[in-house]
Amino acid sequence: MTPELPRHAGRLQDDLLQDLRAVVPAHASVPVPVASAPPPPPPPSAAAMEVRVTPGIWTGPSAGVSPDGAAIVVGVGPLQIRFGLYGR
Amino acid sequence: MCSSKGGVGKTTVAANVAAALARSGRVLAVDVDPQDSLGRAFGVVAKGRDDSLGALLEDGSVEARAVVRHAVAPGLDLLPAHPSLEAVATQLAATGGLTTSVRRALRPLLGEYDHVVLDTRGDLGALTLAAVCAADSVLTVFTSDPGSALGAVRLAAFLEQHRTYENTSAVLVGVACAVWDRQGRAARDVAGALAGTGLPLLSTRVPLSRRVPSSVLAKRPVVLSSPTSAVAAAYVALADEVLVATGKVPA
Ligand SMILES: Nc1ncnc2c1ncn2[C@@H]1O[C@H](COP(=O)(O)OP(=O)(O)O)[C@@H](O)[C@H]1O
Ligand SMILES: [Mg+2]
Repeated sequence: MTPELPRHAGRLQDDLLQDLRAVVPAHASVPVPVASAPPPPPPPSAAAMEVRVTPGIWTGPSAGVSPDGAAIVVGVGPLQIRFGLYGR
Repeated sequence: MCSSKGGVGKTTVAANVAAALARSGRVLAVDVDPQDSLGRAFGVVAKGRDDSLGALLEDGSVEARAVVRHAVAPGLDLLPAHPSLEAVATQLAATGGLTTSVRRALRPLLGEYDHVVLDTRGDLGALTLAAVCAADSVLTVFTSDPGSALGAVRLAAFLEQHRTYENTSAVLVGVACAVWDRQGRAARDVAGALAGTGLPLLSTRVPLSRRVPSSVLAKRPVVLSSPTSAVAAAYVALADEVLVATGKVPA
């Protein structure tokens, strides 16, 4: 039996967001009335960088946005570097 | 202070935010949780229904000031709960008076305070609704537990629903992290997901700190017992952020 591979944390965040959106008040454009001050930007500590190595997959240098739009992904050879902003 | 989940740091936030607000204004802290933890955070324990919030809810002729504990901390008065509040609430619910009971009970006291902080239990039941009905603003919290984020979103839906019913006009002023574990990844993921919901995520994150459970034993919120600690500074910052969000002070 092959153990289930742990899903990438970014995926977990997206999964949770989906769960949350299912419960968020129906009038998404007029959500629960919130105070006028906009939520301040997340502190810089919320930024994160992650390096992943994908053995055996050798590709040329590449750069792009991750499918969920949550990170910039730069690939060089087997290296994949993800620059993510969690506090978006 | 509200959430649909227990054990997420509500009472600790309520106690510390109340103590922080009391540095610049007169504050009344009200425990609307039969578990009576808010009073205990300050070392106040009611003996029964008669010397606690239940007395005011049950009998409109009881003098509110006589039940309030004065100066439990600098600038801070407290209206404690007692486990008998559960039975009082059940009885009031049967007669239809529960929803507006907390609002009615607090009305004679409002002129004496700049801020009233209400702590509720971790559910969206009828007693919590009675507290929400008495409030202008609602603050909720989350931790690294994804269930706490769901709880925050459920609270938002609950407020929306009861605005529709005209049970409340309270505004959700913020969703704050009450136990920020900077070493763990889960808190970041939970915060990231909450940010995507459009709810008003506050920037203050209260760090996970061993000082917090110790302060409960010491019956002194950290804002008072360890005022120079990072965790106390976070509660003070949270209180400031809430004041700005409620429009009580300019940004
Ligand atoms: N920032 C924190 N760091 C460490 N422990 C905390 C923190 N906030 C709360 N706690 C602890 O978590 C537990 C639940 O907190 P509490 O405020 O009673 O939650 P609730 O009122 O939501 O049930 C308590 O034991 C409390 O001491
Ligand atoms: Mg509590």
